[in-house]
Amino acid sequence: MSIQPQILEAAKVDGASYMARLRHIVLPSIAGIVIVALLIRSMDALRYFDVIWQATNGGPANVTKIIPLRLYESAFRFFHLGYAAAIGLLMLAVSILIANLFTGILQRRGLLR
Amino acid sequence: MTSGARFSGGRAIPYVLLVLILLWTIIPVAWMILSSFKNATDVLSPTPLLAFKPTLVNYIGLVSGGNNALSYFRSSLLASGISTIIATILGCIAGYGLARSNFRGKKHLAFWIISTRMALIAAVILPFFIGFTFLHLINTVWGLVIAYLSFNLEFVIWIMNAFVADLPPGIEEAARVDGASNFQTFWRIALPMTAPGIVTTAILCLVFSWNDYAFAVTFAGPGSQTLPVAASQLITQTGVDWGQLTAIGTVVALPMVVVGLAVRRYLVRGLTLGAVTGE
Repeated sequence: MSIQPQILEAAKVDGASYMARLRHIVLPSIAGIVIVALLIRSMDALRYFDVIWQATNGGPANVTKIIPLRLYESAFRFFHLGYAAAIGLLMLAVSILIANLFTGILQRRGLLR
Repeated sequence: MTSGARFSGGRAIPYVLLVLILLWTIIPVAWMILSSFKNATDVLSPTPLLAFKPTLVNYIGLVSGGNNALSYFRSSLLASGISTIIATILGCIAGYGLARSNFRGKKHLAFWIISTRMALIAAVILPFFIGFTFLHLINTVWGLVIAYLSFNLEFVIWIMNAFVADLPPGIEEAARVDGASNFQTFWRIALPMTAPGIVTTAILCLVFSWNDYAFAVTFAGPGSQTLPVAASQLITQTGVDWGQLTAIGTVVALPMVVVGLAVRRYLVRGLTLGAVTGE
């Protein structure tokens, strides 16, 4: 998980440039955690809600109304619970699709068997 | 090799980028801190004021009067602290188990765990609310702890799973040959080697739940109101109390900055310790 300084030192002695060390040592050793972080943060981005809700509440003229805000509004302001549930399920399907891409990469790298 | 030559020419570019990013991240925070020391007229000044007479009136307003921020601070601290501790302990064990065991449908189990982070918050608020009413957890710190676990626990499990999967398995095998039990291998070998990662993950959990707004605003009543909710209540139909808002913003941000700085030293120490153990 953590990169051992000795390995970086050895590569430096062998004449590897900064970019070469980044490309061939640092990135491969943190790839797994980077993919997991990307997966979790993209899930977070898809469900992003509170700051937009407080700052603009979807306005002006709906330009900042992302799907989670639309769901909240239809469920708790207009009480179209069926419509809101449909949005929720649709977003779940999209999230599963995106997450499957990431888990596919993880599996190919042998990090999730 | 060619890339090295190309980059030595533009050595200044990374620094320029760094300065830009630094300004982009620091200016809003610095402005918040500056505004919190301004009085009611200075804070609304149409021209940006850098020279003004600092006043503590906003901070005094926070700790005095009926709307006392100390009780919000307490419930924020309790809810996010307890949630982080539970999530870290359970998540480390579960993540290690997930990475070091093999069973049918493991991928599906891992996927099911991460799926709790996929559901939109607005979509889970109603089921949570009904469940909490049934269990009498509305307006309690424990209700918030459970709600925060829904986004903290699978975060720790997945990060820990990735950390352990990256560990060389040879060291644990050696420990097992020497007669260590499953738990001893986890406790004495895997845990110290992943310690820096665990600490970072715990800090992130703390920040996630400390900053949570959507859950707190629905599940917390007068007895368990958290700081972000208290801050949002200063944004009203009739106007925004910018002085108070920036003061409470500074109070909310400060503990996380302190924790982050305190842990940074530990992180560097943890890294070198890990390197020695890894040999």
